Amino acid sequence: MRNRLSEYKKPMPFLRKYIGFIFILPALVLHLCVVMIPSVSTFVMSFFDWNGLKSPSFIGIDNFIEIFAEDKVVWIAFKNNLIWMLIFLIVPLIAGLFVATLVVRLRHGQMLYRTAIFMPYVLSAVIAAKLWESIVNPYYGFPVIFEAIGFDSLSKILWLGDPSIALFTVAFVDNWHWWGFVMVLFVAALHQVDEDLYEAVRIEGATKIQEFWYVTLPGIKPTFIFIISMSIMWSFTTFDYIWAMTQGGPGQATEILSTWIYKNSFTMFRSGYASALCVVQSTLVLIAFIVMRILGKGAEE
Amino acid sequence: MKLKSVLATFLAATATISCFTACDGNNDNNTSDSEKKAGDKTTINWMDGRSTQDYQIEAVENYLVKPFEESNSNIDVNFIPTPDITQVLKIQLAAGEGPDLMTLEGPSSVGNFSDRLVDMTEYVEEYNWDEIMFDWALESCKVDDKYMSIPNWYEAIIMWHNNDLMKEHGWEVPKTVNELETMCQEAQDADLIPICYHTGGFIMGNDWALSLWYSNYCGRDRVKQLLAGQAKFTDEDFVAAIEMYNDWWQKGYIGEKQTHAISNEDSQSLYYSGKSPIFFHTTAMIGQMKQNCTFDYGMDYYPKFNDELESAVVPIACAGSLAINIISDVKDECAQYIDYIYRDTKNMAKGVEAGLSPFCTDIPTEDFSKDVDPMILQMKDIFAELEENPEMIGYCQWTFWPTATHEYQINNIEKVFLGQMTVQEFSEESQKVLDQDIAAGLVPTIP
Repeated sequence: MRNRLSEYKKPMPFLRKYIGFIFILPALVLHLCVVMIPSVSTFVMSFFDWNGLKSPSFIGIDNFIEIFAEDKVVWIAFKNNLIWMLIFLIVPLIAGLFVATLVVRLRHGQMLYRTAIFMPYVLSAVIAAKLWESIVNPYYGFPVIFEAIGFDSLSKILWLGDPSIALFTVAFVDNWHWWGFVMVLFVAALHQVDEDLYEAVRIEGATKIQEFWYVTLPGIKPTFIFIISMSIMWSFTTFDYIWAMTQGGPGQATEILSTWIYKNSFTMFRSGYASALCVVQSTLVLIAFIVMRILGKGAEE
Repeated sequence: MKLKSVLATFLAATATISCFTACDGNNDNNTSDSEKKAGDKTTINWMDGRSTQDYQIEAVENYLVKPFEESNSNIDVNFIPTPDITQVLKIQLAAGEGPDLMTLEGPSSVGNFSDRLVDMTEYVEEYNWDEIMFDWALESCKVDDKYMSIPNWYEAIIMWHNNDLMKEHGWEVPKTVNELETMCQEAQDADLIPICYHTGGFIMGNDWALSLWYSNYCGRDRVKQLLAGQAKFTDEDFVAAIEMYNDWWQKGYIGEKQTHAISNEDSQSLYYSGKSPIFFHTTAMIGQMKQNCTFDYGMDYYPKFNDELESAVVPIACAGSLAINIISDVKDECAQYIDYIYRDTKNMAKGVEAGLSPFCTDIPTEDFSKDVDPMILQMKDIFAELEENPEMIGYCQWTFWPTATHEYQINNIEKVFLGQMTVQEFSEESQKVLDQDIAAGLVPTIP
């Protein structure tokens, strides 16, 4: 009798059993409508010749053949995305980590510095882009100041007009916007590192650099991996600053996958081809995600 | 616990239901059958992407909407100014929705929308619109020999000149290309920007200069042959046109070799602050010139760039075209409205004086007020001259050129300036794209 009682499990009420699912249902429905269904639709339309309005016609893999074998702009855009990715894997990480290690040591005014450095992140991309467009304007921006103080060579640089540096100029502006956020992430991660570990290595006679290399970096590795993953994925999907500042010019020097997708879909009325480009872009991001997941698991272990 | 469970369920259900209300397909932008019972008021929803500034919206409401509503008490017109209208319409039309009446961005894009538009050929015949609209404008709206839209605003590529600055330096408005080139050189020597023209952050702006050089160097007939597949970009005259454009760019006559680095808004500011004798733009600037210029200014068309032409050729554009949504239940009312606003030239004149671009019709001079901006009358005279001399009518890319060719040219002309591509290569690649457009039947009707 006692065994039967202990084995007897009261059936869960329906509500308690499915309450978790009910709570996530609205987000799931939204995700389905806004992300999953359009994603599947994009994948399907990538096999069609479609101008976005008229009836699509099935063309198989012709769009993909055009992407890889005929469209020279795709390779220009891909190269620019790679350059963008390298910039964002180096500059904000180094700058963010360096400043974060300084900021966490402050006894007074730490919040002031964190706020000041984080401020650009709250600006909208278009406002920041227009702001910097004015700053580099050759008629009334920094070039005028450079000329006034005698830096003639600097004053003659067309920051958004020189095809060899326009991409770096736009990347700088996006970095200015982004690195404060990276710094804040690193500050949070640094606070998580156990102080006892620092004490332990100091007792062993470690230098500051050794402290940083053997305690700090391993301690913030998950955050590092996360930022690297996001930087790689977002590098392939970036759009706002390029579109606001140069629209892919001058002479397609700042053309990236997203702007090329936009032009094909919305100004050239080639939605089928743009869908194929989206599939290729998403595949690149997926590959990056999988690689970083594998590396991230190693870091956690 | 029971109360918590009930509350949780209620909240989750509410959140779920609210998601679906956001997907409500009820669209206020077209008129349903229920709104069109006999004797009831009907509403025409008119979406336009051109008149989006406050003074323009006010002018549309005062001179194009209210007079019609007062004369037709059973019809309301709901004017919906919409920036980036092409993208908005594309999404709405693809979803089977959209306004009753819409202003598309010119005949070159109408072909892409034609499945969703009403064939207005019957309306053209019923209302005899061919008698009141400019021939070149109306004919450009044909797709497969059907009028899929009606011309809306028109504009031409002209030079705005700063008369005070020119007088100060002893310059007259150039009437030949040599005079223009001389003035450009002298302006440069005087540390001025000879021709203020910038397209930074607005790649589309490259088509103004391309339109001018092709039309005004090669001539109207040659451009027509090009778009009909009877001439090629690689022909001597087309290559020479771009070589001349590139040559002037390299000399710094156009935007001081910085056309791609500075925005059009900045370019306007430079002109308004007296840094340039000539501003390169279209007649669409007429309202802004009046608002911003503190000096005496004027407009004129560019002299012919090639001595072999008989006269200058002025690229013109049907800057927008009115189309009726195929799902609209007020199609006849839309046509009635179009006819009304085209024939009400008195109010159209007031609208133009208030800053609107004129419709593609001749507005009698007596319909304008006594203190009308002289520029408006000058613009009217230019278009009257073009109507009488059709050989002077050139073709703006954004109206008359197929989309892919247009896109290729505006995205790649800067490579020529920056030495990344030769003129020959630019012409060859442009021809490849044009050949594809012609083969796909995407070239608009060329009047």
